[in-house]
Amino acid sequence: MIQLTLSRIHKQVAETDFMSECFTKSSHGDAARFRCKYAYEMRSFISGFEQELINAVDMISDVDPLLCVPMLGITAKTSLAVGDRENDALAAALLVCQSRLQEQLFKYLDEHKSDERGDAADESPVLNEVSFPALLIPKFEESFEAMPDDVKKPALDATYRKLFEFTFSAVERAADDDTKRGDVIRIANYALLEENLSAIASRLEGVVKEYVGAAKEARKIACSAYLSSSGFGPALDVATHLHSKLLSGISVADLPFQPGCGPESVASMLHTILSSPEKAVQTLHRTMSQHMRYLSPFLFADVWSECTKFIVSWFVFLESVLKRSPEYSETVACLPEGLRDMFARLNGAS
Amino acid sequence: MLCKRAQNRKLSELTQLSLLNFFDCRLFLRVYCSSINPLVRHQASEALSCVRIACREGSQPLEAFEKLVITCCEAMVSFILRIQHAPLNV
Repeated sequence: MIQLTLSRIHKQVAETDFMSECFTKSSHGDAARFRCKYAYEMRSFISGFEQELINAVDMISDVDPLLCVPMLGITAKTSLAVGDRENDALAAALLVCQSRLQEQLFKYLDEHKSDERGDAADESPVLNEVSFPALLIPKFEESFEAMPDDVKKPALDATYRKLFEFTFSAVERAADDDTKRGDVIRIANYALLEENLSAIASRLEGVVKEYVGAAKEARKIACSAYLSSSGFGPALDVATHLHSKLLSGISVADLPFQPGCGPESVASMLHTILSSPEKAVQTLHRTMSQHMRYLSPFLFADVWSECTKFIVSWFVFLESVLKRSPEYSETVACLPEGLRDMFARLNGAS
Repeated sequence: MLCKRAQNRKLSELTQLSLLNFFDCRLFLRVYCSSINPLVRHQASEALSCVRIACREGSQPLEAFEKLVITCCEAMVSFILRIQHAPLNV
């Protein structure tokens, strides 16, 4: 019986013609399940294959780094065909290949862009990586064009996701590394990413739109962090403090008797803004113009308008709370409408 | 050449197993996989040579890369399907 089995397997192996075989989805699925079940054995089965793939990627990208784009398409297509499962040595090898392709591609783009930028841009908070999605997405679309739709969409989505993850992590890394300009780096880069992708996002649903939304959200968060360290910081601090007290169930009438919410501490926190609101807005505009000088006037106006919305909405809240409690002698009468006008005037001037 | 050698090695290992009257499917699979690995690597290195030649001559390196990826992946699927349907029923 054993001898019979061995001779059958031997015959099968000897007769295998890998080049001419055609595999269905279900056969790939069966094989993927098998690889996951016998993960340890499979690692010894395909050991060395991963290195050959890496060698091929390095060889081809040395000749033409932009060929990494269609190669990513080929790898993504194959990944989809063989199935993407945990513990699958083959899927892991293809994933390593994809990472190497991205690495080579981004390395080339980085060097290429650096050459174009020159020395003057050294201190710019704008990263090369934010231009990659807009540059590469059309190329990916072209490379994946020949695939059938049911394969193309998931393959493109997976590739775009990787591209965006790379871009977002590059922005976050740069922002984390620069303690002084972290928020500026985030605002400038996420704003640029949105601008670069606006045309593409209008025709592509799914992942691209999702990440454009994520960039917008990240920019908003960075904007609020940036503003909290500006001249408006103390006023925003007091507003968020009052807000958190209300959320914890304290009534408006009891607010003035809560720690940090007394009329005197609120007045001292609002003093700078209330004494000269126009000056505070002008100072913020001047500082932001300096920090965001790398943005186009259109994009700067967009960022400024977002800051306006953020600050004015908090002052609307402050006004509504302070007016309802007689203990607060402090008034925000000139605000928030006054502030909105001041912000708008400067936006028109920029 | 390597294909033939790998097949012979695999057969000799499997024969040893059968002489020991060993029925553990997992062990059988382990031996099978490690003995078939040179075959897979041989196919990969042949496809890599095609990539190298294509790069040197500037003629369709993409096609050579696609052949490397697809051929090797399909070879693996093929081997797995074969062993899966073998009478040992692993």
